[in-house]
Amino acid sequence: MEFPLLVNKEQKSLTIAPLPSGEGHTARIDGREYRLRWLPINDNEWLLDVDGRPIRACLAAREGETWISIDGETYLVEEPGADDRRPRRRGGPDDQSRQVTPPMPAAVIRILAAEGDLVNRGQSLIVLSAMKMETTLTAPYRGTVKKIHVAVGAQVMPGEILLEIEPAEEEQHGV
Amino acid sequence: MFRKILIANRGEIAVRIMRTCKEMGIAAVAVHSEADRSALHVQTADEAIFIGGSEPRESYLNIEKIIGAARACGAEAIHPGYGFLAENGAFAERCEAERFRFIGPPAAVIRSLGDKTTARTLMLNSAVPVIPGMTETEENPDNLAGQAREIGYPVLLKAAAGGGGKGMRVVSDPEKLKDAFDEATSEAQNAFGNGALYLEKYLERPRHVEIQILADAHGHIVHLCERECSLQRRHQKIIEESPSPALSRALREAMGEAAVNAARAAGYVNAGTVEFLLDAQGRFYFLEVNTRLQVEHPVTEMVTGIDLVREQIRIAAGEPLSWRQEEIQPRGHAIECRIYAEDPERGFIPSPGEILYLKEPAGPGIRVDSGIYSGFTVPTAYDPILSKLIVHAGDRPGAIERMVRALSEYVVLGVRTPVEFLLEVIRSDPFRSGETHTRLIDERFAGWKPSMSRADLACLAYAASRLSPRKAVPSGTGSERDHFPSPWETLGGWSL
Repeated sequence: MEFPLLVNKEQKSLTIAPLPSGEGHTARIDGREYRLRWLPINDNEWLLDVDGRPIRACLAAREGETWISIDGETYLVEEPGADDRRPRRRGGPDDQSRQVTPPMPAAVIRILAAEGDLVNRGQSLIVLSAMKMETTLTAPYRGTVKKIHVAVGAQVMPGEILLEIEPAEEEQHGV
Repeated sequence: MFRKILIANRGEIAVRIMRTCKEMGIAAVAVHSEADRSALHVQTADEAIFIGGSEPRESYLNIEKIIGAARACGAEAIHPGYGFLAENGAFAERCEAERFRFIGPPAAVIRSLGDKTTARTLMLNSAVPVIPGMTETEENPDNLAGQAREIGYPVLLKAAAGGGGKGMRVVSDPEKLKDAFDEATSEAQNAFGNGALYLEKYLERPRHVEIQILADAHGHIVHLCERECSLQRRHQKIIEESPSPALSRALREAMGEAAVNAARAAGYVNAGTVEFLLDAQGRFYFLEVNTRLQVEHPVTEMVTGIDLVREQIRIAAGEPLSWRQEEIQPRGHAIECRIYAEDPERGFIPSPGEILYLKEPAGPGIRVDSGIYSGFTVPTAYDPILSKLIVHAGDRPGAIERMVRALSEYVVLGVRTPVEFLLEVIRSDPFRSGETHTRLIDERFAGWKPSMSRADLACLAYAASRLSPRKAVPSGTGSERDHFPSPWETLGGWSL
């Protein structure tokens, strides 16, 4: 069985197969081979046996991402294509780059542009506040503000499109 | 003694204060906002009162609502914790006017120490060393040269109207003072419309060392030794320890005495912290007084064995201090790591969200002051501190090893935390050798990335969960559960 994985956004190729003897599995990750057995402890904890070494791992999944903690290190594992029900950004990368979205759940405290404004790359557009810290979202390229989807005071989430920018003519050729 | 105390705070510090209240047989009342309806401090309290919206000014910063809650529940005293209203003179005054005992210093003391120039003058007049510098501005660079010689290089040129680093220059070479003056004055003129400058002694890579003090209402003051808080990110402390690796016995006594003098000069009552900057030559300078319980107070509790919250409550109730200075003997070494919901890979930006799973470290010498649980959603409206991990051991190397173990056991899934970053800092050579200063994190750990050393194991753990049935634990009847075997009894059942 083959799993293409993203571990902290880094690609890893995992193949796993039961051993003929029935004594566990053999797993290959980017050319490295491991003998693997496991024992679920509860919904979030697993005891692995990796080449005879016991490893405790804690796991929890949310929206297609699995958080895994081993020895104080935390990893975010994704399996592209594993679950088509999970929310995805619509459109291609081109479309995505026309939009401005927050890096974290936050509140909108200032909007510095209006629909129809011509904005330059790097120009400040929206100021957000989360946990006593302000973050300014800037224009990813030069263009015209097509639509602003939020108002001051709104609570916003990552992935939510706050503002759309139509790239300026020269930018479209550049990309 | 009080029978009921209202805690005007939230999160880990509210929980921590309630624990001491419980031990003292005092009922603890929580106040909470909309976002904190199911917060841990609400679950821990004997009584909880909803006071308003999630925005701090509608709840935790709202004096009227907090006084109203204290009246409604019949509390006799109010503990402000840290942050929010803890250092608000008007709040302390209002508490006293409404006949609630404020667990902290008198309002007048909070006010005078809150004003930097008043505090500086107060310290200058009581033989507490203050960072050398000018008290008036100077427009003639030639006159400035004399001042700089007097203060001693390196000096810091600062704009009188300054802020944000504009009009600021560090000058180490007397020859360069004139050029630096010209640059800084024109920069200040452009930025603030005022080119006036003054000089202050520049401390290179200072340490941040603070002294905990306790003062009762009967004129007794003791200090509880120091905390070293040099490791900071975004100008906020992240690792603290006691004792400081930089202090000799003589220096500890000198700083302790200065702190007690500072407290006496200010008319201090209750627990407080006198902050100092310490330079490489062992000279220390007054920075400010924090008129509240500090976030990092547990390291002092671990080495002195004194419950600071209990002392705060006793002092507020008018009881005298339980110890004389010579009876306070620190034992061993304690280190604290602050666990924030933040992403160390992206400049420590806050990372609020739901805690999917939490497992806290345990074992000898470990203390976790936490405000979270599995399933809790970390609100966006407040400071992102989740918990504090404190360890205590016989000596500093022992405390370091214990902290490494404890951090390795700490599991927080669902929000980003600096656990792995802290592990790397604690294990680093500069930390091990005690060479900590306020610039260390910026200089040595800028652009930090996780090691990915267990990435393959994470893949294997993922595969194990993917290839297993969804529900691992059989959901049987009660009698079946009673006989649910331990993992080691089921070794034969390892997944194949």
